[in-house]
Amino acid sequence: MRAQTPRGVKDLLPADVQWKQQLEAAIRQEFRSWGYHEVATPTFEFFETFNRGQATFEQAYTFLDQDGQLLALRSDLTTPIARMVASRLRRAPKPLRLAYAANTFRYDSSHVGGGRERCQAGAELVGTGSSSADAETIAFASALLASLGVAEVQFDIGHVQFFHSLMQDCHSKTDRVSIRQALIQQDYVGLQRVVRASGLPEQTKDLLCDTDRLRGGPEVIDYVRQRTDCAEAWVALDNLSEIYRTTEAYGAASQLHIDLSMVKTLDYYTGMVFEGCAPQMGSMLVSGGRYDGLHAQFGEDLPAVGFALELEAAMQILEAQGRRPKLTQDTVFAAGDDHSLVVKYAAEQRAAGRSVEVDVDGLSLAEAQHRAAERGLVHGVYISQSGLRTW
Amino acid sequence: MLRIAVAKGRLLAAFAEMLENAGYPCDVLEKETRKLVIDAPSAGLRFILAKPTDVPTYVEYGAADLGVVGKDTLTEAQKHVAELLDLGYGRCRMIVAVPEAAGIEQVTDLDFNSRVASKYPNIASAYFRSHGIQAEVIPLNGSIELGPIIGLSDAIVDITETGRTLIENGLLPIADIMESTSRLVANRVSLKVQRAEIGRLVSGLQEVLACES
Repeated sequence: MRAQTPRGVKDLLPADVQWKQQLEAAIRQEFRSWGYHEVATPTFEFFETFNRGQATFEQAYTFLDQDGQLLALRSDLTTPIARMVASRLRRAPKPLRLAYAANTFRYDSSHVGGGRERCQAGAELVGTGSSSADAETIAFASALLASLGVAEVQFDIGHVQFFHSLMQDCHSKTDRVSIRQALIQQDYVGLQRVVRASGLPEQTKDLLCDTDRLRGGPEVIDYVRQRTDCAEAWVALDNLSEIYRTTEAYGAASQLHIDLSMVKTLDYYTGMVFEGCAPQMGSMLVSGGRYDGLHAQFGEDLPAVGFALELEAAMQILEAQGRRPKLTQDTVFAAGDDHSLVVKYAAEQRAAGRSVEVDVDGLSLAEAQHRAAERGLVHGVYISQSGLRTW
Repeated sequence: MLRIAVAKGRLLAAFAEMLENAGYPCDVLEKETRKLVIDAPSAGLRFILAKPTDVPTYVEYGAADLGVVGKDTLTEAQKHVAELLDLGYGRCRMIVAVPEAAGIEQVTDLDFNSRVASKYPNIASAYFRSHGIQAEVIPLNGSIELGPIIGLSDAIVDITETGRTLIENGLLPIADIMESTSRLVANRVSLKVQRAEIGRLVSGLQEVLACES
């Protein structure tokens, strides 16, 4: 038998689990503070629940049920939660604040870290389309990172309607697809080429080609407003500037930036989109946005906004900063010449809330002290007829 | 300070000159050295000397904020990096070539039995797939021209500047796959958190490029 695991999955040893649980506890405390309720969805579902075209199929862990139905391990929690809201929570009063911390599965080995089983913590605010809801989501993501001890996070906010509205003037579907693809891949050299060759108005071409000017502080919104006559783009910009102002009001420790060049791979986003990153980490920590069309696919038309945080990425940042805690041991090692007395003692201690490890090998005092030291247990007790000896 | 991953050699000199012209003094690069990390403090740059094929990886992982790499290597690597600028130098073509004696005139003459040797297996496979040719792509690391000579492959996919090496080895280009030049790429997070510094460098290089053309 091979003592190996497949690519992209990892074992967590006691110290890892203890650390992860501490972080998860901080996350759950933050969920509570913001009035979000944690939910759990199945590890696998019908593949069609997740199906959003070829890309999802290539990334999904799919398998057949006994009756031949195609199933898939969950690749994200947003979609199953939308399904859950459209079915079992259909009658629940809105808005709903739901949260999760769970593992997701993707064949995606191309991203930094290469993990195929990734723990994501996230939240969904369902049933409201207000800009305050968008702002709360960004602020909540920031607070969640802060609760983990990840500081200096930069949040970039964009808007998918901005790009869509500019593309209304682009009548060639091939051009629209290539421009979107270039923006997703951040291939700004290729972008210039397709944009310049497209039938877009000159004004829009200039705007799209100078992507650097689409990123920065809130002044970006005014800069862009002066350079487009597209009414729909203005609606998106107004929405964004409202979200920006409200998010600022939270006084979040994170830096807020505008990035109008941001286009997401997932096509379910309909409004504000955002990403959070930290200087020490080459990949994104948080990703989210508004997705008003997703619930309708499950028969319930509801606006919604949410995000997912990559827990492993956050752990890597903390580790790089030397903030990975050591395994804490408060267990007492109990041994003795009469096993029944040791067991009785252990039961009393446990009832009082203490942690006790009982010797099952009949060790002598010296052996017990040696064993405890070997295990990193500082405290021990040796019980004999004559009394109790502690160290 | 910005960290730039670059490949040693001829193309590094071209990039260094562009930087000088853009107002980033980096004469430290001219000295012969075996160092792999070279600081140019007055320019606010740190150069990381890497193998060309490793440049996209360094940048993707954020070990370098920026990188300079050929479009050929970049396309082959399929890494998530932002491509900021076409630096215009290091121009070459990626071609499909066959032995002159083979009598093959176009790629569609290759069939499912055909073997193609290449340093760029991803690009080669994608190209043949898109042309409906089920050729077998054999990844090699160097001297691709040897493939047909020693009977390992029927064709090759490789880059060429002048075509001389091809002619010397009796090979005939039958199709162009892509043209390549050196590109400036950036880590996706660096592009956000060091936007101002990167933006300044990019516009400096853009001005130099505009003057050259």
